[in-house]
Amino acid sequence: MMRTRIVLLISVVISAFTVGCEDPVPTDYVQELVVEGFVFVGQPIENIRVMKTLPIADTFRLVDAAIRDAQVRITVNGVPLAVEYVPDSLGGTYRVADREYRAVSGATYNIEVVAIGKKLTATTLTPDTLSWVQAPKDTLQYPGRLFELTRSDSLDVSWTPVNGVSQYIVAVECIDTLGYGIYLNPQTTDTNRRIRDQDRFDSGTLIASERVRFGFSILTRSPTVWSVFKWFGKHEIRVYAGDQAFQEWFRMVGFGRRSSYDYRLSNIKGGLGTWGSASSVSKSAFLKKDQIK
Amino acid sequence: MRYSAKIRMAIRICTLRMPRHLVLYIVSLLALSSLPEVAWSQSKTTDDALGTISGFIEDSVTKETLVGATVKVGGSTRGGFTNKSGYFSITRVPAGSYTLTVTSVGYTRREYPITISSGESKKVRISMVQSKSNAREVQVTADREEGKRQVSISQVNIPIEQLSQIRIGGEADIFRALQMLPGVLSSSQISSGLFIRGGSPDQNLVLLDGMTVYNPTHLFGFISAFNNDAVKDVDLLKGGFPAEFGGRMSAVLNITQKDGNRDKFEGLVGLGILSSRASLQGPLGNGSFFLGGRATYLDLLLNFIPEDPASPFPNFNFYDVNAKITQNLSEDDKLSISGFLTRDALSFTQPGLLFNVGIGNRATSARWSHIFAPDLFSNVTVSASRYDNGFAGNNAGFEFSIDNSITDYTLKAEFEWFTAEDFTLKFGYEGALYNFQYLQNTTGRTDGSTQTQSDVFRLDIWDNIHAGYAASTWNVNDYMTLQTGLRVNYWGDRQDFLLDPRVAVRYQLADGIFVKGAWGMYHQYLRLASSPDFSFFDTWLPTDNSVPPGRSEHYIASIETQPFEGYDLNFDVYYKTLNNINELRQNQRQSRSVSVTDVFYIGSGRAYGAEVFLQKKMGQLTGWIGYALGFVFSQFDSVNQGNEFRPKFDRLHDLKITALYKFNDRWEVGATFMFQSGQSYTGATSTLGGRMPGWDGGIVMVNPSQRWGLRLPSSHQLNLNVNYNTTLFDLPFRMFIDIFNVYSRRDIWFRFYDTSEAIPSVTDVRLLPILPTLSFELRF
Repeated sequence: MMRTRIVLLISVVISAFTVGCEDPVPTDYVQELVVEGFVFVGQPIENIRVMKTLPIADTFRLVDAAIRDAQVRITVNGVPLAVEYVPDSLGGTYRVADREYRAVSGATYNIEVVAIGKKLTATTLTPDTLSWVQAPKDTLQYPGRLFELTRSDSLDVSWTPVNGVSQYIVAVECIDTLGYGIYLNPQTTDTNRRIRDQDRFDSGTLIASERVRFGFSILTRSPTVWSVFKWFGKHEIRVYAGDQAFQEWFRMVGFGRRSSYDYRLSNIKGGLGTWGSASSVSKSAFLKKDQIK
Repeated sequence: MRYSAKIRMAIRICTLRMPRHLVLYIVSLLALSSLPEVAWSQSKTTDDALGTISGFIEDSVTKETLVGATVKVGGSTRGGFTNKSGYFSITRVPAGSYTLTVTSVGYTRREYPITISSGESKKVRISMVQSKSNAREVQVTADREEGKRQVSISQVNIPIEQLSQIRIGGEADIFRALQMLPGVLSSSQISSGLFIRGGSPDQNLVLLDGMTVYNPTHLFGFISAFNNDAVKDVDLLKGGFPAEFGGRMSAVLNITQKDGNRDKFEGLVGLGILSSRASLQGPLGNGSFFLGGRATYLDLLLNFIPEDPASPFPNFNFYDVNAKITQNLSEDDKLSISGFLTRDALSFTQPGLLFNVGIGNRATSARWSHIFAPDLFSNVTVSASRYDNGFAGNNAGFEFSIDNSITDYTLKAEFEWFTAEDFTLKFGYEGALYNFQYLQNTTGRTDGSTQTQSDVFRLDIWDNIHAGYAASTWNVNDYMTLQTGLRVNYWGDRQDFLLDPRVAVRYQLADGIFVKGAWGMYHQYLRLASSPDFSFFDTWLPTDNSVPPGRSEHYIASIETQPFEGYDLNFDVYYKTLNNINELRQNQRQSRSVSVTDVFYIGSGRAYGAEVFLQKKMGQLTGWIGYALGFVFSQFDSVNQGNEFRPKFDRLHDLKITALYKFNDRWEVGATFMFQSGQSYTGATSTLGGRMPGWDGGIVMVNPSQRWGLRLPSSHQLNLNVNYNTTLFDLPFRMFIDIFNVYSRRDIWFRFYDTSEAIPSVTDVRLLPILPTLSFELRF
């Protein structure tokens, strides 16, 4: 009898532990306000997206997340800039209404967004400008399969340092994923294609079709990193000198591709997202196929 | 009289409006400075007719000295116990003939007749014979005697024979065994890092023969780097440790290597699934040597598994070497030279990518033990310890490398003065010269061809810290022992003087029932940048002027008793504050950090809880049952939006059971079972998109809820071991059959939201299923 009671007691205690300690996966939806915008020195201020977060169980679509009636206020060194909403197929963006306005370096740009009963604010200080010391060559020859890890100097680039920037972001954008031969002299009918070795990197992910790839350098020069190319053909190579918010957004989204938002990597107060700035230089380059079938 | 005056002064100070810490400092200082006066005043009454008995207690076969053996002078209340060197001293013994009763766990009680004359100091060397495993009475007596004489709060000493029986995948592992103690947690079942009472692994001081070991793991934290064959004694102090230990906030793991068999040559070879091991020991000159090593052959096994050329397996191997030479230079002088070497190497090659990772420890020490007088024992240790890690890679022609290391050169001088039968004073000095090196080359070329000084980031920091300490143990009367201590630290770079007062008391409530209490302050100089799950690129950093020193306070109360013959029962409650602790920054201010605040967020924490530990050390059935209830909280201004949170390793309930049953000389069966509250994870409340400039679609992220605010299902696991002892070619041969995770419960390692698809899904990554292994051991 006593033994039975003891066994019963132990069973109850163990059951209480096993059942009582687990928390169910939460499904409660907490809506938050999001802004994603960058100020590029020397360029118009545009493509600012204002969004709300969506329930986890729903498919995330920009068009569903977009907020089209937000109150967006932008100031430069305390002076307000008029902002307008521009519709597009993804739910629209916001931009500075003065199309002649170009962002300047060394200026403080503040943003305030009010929507869905919430308000967020953020500040960015635009970095100084940078310029090429050694720009990319017009034509680059892909070295072949990367098994051999062959090094080539043909893509070595360098640029001027920017005060306060500890990490530069290098972007390589394929301008035309279809056309190839039309850029050759004489022209051919050859079409563009992906680089074989690189297929697997983005395979099956949402960004498999993105044409821009990013890398980083803590120096003001970068030698060849052939794995940054996904396609052959016409490209634009850019170097960004971003403020801290820009660098941290890159750390979270561009390089880290994190599945969970990290508040520590954002400068937004009262919401989510980023409000960063950068100076940049760019140059086009053509990547020739390696001729491996 | 003067002592009373100082106590009165202390009480008067306490009544003033002063900061609590300052009051405690002053009280401790006064108490500490007064105790030698008490001892001295007693020694002045010493009659010249009194003598001293001192010496070493050793194993009769191997001649290894025994730690913690109890020596009692028959017909009196006098006695002592051996220190880490196996030395004891009993002073103020009246002239006459006595029988010394020597007991030690695992050994047959020894009666040793001795006659001591007036004023004589007699040195003895007493050999102990290992007992049969069912010699229950021996163990009971030994424990009782030891318990009467040591405060040793929150100290766990598990016989190495029992530690060796706790195996994972056929590998005996000290850290895995220690994780089976209540209050000792891990970040996961595949991590050997020790989270003790809310403290992280970097807050534990790990000593091997006095050498600091900075990364005591193999396989990136899966198993410990200590070879059980080479270990003689393992002491874990979970908190409230005395002033002789410093530099860490949470716990001390003090491991002593075997000296080696002084009498005959002895060897061992072992074959397991992860590694093989071998050791040799024997007499050498006027002493002994021990040499042992382990090496894995995972890389060889992988060669037999077909692999996809596009996704080849990484190559991995590790090895470690333990060595020790001990020489008796004279009757009063012993020299021990120890060495410890570990190396893990990983290389990974696939199209367009190649990288090599190397991680290792190198440590050596020379310890000179000298007996100045029968009542004054000393150890002087000179050691150097280096931990380094690094990787070199080539990404499609872009070469990069990072090398990182910490090296210390340490001098320790420790003195143990048995001033009176009821008073022992320990004092000493410890100084360390640290060198932190970090080299980061991301120039694209690592052959030095185009590097300039500015391209390669190099840190080479030298710093020194010094500490002096004094700790006294005073047997106030037959019922009460008071231990006070003070450690004074000086940190060179900061030019800081920091005081660590410590107090512990033991009171005998009734026969076999002891109440203990301890309070102490602990400062930590080193900070570790690491991942809680993997020990991959651990980077140790000094506490520079950019951050305040790490500091903790321990408050511990404990009851010890023996409810049944052969069973020890401990009940501990504790409260611990953790100030100026660190968490790795996500938003590094500089990619080339030059100050500690560039690397860490600085915050605080607290932990409290209760532990019950029922242990049976000897007999046919040995093992323990331990249960811990623990609460841990952390707060960082920049983490979790400044809100307090419970860290990932926090587990509310922690139940551990181990048992080993010896059927006969051939068969032993063992089992370990653990049950824990589920590990914490971070949930999510919604999703958002993130895009870089130029992206069309971007990625999807979840918006996290309260950091580590949710719990996974409870963890539990049963492991079984069967040992079969036989002979092979007339040599002792053992077979070990181990079944890991008997009922194949695959606990969740971590839970994350898979956002690679448009609708995020909750994904659980689970731990290993059932894993049976077979291993062998041959002794010669």
